[in-house]
Amino acid sequence: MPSTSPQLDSAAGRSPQLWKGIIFGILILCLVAFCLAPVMWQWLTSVKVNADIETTPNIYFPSRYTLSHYGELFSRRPFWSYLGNSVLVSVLSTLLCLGVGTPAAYAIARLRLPGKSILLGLLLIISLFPYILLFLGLLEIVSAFGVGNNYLSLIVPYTAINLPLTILVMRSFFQQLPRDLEDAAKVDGYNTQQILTQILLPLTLPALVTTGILTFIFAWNEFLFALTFMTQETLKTVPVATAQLSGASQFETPYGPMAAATIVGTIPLVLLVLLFQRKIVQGLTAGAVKG
Amino acid sequence: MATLELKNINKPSPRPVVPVNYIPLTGWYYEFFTRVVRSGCVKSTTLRTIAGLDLPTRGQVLIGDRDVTYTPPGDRNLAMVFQSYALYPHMSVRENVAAGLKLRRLPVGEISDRVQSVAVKLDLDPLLDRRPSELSGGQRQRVALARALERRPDVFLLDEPLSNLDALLREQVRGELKQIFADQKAPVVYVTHDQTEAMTLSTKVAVLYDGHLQQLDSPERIYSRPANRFVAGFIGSPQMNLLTLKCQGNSAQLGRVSIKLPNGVSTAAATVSLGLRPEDCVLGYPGSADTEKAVVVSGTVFLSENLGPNLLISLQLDEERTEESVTLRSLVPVGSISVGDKVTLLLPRDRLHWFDAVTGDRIDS
Repeated sequence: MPSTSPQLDSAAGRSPQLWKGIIFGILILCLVAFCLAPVMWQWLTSVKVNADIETTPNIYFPSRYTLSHYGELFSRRPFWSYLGNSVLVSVLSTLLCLGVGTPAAYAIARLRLPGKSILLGLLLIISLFPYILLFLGLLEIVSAFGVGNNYLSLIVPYTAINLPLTILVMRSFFQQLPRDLEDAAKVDGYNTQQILTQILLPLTLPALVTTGILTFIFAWNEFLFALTFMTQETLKTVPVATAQLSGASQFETPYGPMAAATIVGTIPLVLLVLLFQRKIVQGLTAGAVKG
Repeated sequence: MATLELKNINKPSPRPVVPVNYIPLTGWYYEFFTRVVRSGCVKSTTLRTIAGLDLPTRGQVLIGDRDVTYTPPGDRNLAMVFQSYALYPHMSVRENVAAGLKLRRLPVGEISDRVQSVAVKLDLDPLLDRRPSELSGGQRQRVALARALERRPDVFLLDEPLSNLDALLREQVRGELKQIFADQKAPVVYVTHDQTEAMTLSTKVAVLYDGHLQQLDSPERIYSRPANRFVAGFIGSPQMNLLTLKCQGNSAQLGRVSIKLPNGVSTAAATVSLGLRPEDCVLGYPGSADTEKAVVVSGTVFLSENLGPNLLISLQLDEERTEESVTLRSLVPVGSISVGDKVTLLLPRDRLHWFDAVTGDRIDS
């Protein structure tokens, strides 16, 4: 029968396809498990009861669950204020970084400045410079200005450290935009500031979000400056507070609350990235200028 | 009607490759002014200077009586259509068209009236709420045009507006453009490298080469009386025959025939350039024509190309000495000639264009 042979062909064609799918799925699973294992471990620890945490051999998948570690964070500690500090410092440094970096990047991308390549080279060097080396100098500056235990002592360094990368990324985005667009806007009567805010920024939204998220993550996770410049309990950020959690006695390491603090501290970041990830994709697909 | 005038405009090219790149246009008023430029010339620089996107190093730009040389682009009240259309991708068609009016703080009612009337005129009203990325090339082109029209500017600037359209659409839009701008009471400056667009749309054509103005004239005169050898070879398809002939006294030698030179040629010149359009060469028979009115030459056809309506033949003229063979191209009716034929061509004397062999300038009798 002539009709069977195509069926046979398609069946024979489908099974390697199927195997490919299965292998692909397994590999993806392995990758995800590898990447998420530490997070899973933290999360499981945060919901285990203390007896299960301390017992040997390890209990990987507990039979008893508790939320007491989370409750402890907020009842025994001012964890809300840690979170608030982190949000304040991170949001302000991100906004400041974008607010200063974007016009600078636009100027570097479009103006014929003398020594522009030197300027770009310097920016690149600064962004490659290990920021820990700035630490001692910054400590001097912070104490000289008396801004220790002040949000400024974190916001300003975080902004400064992230500015070079922001400028470099935004500059390359601005350069990709067609020049005709700006010329058209000029003929329409937009001034330079309006061109930047009304024409170019909506088009560079994906770049803004990307660099903004990078800055935000840096500021949220930064430990050393936050540890040194903020000694007052009410001004501490989440990473510092998490590391300084203490148990009921001096000899007890509070694994449970620490794990819970880690999870709570990660959730805002995850939410932020998930929220803006859609924006990034939208921006990339809607950006078509000319076919 | 507003006028546009460029006085001694001087703008060196941004690329140092071209040593001198001046655009010396003095005291002309343009109605529908088309610049034909060859790629590699200062393509849009004049346009950008008029728009105020580039500043001239010398000279003045006048719109009407206003000197706008140092006025920012937005305050010149002109509209520009870009080659890439340059629509704002994040705005709908309506917002794109209205953007310039909003910045002028026109009342909302008037803005929407104007947008609506322009949209109806250009068949854009079903597309007003779409984004540019959802439009075809031709539709984007119309949006760019609408954006220019609703401004009711003093001057329209069009920078190769049709070059991104495919051939069929280009012809259609070209016709539409002509009708639309016939109604407008403002001068239009149109840059193109397409001679058909220049000839069909313009009331005046400026041919530029290397930043230098070669000729500024009506399309008819550009075609019938090219000012120099460059314009002669550039305008017209198929290209004009341009021959370099030896001079003897006050006559030039073409094949076996000697042609009397116009009075303007200095008798000392060793050579002279002769231009003749292929469509002006007429098929004839030896002795059939009045040699007072036409030069009669004969030769052998070595190439024939079918252009559809007629045949383009290339023939080698009969020579006394074969090493100095001259090639002439002629348009003849399809089917009349085949390769290898011996033919006689009549070259009407009033259609001969003479150019100085050195400077390339036209020589009139």
